[in-house]
Amino acid sequence: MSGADARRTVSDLMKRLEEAEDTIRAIRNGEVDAFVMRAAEEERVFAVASADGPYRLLVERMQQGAATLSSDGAVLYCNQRFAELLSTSPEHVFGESFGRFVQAGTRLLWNALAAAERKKETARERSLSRGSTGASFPFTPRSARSGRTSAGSP
Amino acid sequence: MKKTATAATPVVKKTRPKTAPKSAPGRPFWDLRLYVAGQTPKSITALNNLRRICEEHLEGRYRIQVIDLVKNPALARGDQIVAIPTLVRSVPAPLRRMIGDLSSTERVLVGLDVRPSTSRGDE
Repeated sequence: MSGADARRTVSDLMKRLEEAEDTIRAIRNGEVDAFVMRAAEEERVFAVASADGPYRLLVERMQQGAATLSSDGAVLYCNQRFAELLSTSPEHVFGESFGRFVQAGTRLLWNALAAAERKKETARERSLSRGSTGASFPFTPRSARSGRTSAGSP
Repeated sequence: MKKTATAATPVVKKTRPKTAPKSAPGRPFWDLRLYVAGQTPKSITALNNLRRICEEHLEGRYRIQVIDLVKNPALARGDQIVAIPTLVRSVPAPLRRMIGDLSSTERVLVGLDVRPSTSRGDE
């Protein structure tokens, strides 16, 4: 490699390093809020949480209880109102089995979900009894691809 | 992370000046592409910062194309965009990418080659 070639290579590498470091700096400083990723030969844009902030606020503040359950009945997410319906707070509900809070909850829930799926999302309101007090509240199950959701209101 | 909606139609918004001027002889011209993801806060911040910097330092000698990758993600391929927002300077050559919300005017001016680089690896 001649001296001129070497200088060109170094200059090119420096430029590329600078750009890579600039990318890392921007990410660390929170200056970016979306990423492009390649999935199945196709570019997709993923926005970080701040983009769905307004939607999240709506769900967390609404007067209808809402929760997402995994296929084995664990609560993946619930809003404040949902936890209130179970006489507890959201941090005590996350990761717990839904059946812990509701009498025969899991069985009732899956039966209702299966019925809702058969009827293609025309979910009917059901009644569930709270484990501790036996008080009941209505809820409407919906199925989703990534999780199962139920919503209840007082 | 949440996947945002995608659509097939490419949307490339051009902002001032209305008519793309040709580089006058002896007068440098800046051709810039800002890649955004819809209306994310950092996308909006970057566009505001870029407009302000260009107006202050490159008046009448620049063109900004805003490219929304939510509307057309495939456009990310050409300029190899990874993080959003990213600003690409295609003219003057060589092509250069600047990642982030462009909140450091000094850094942007160095990146645009308006101001010579004085230090490297700052911050």
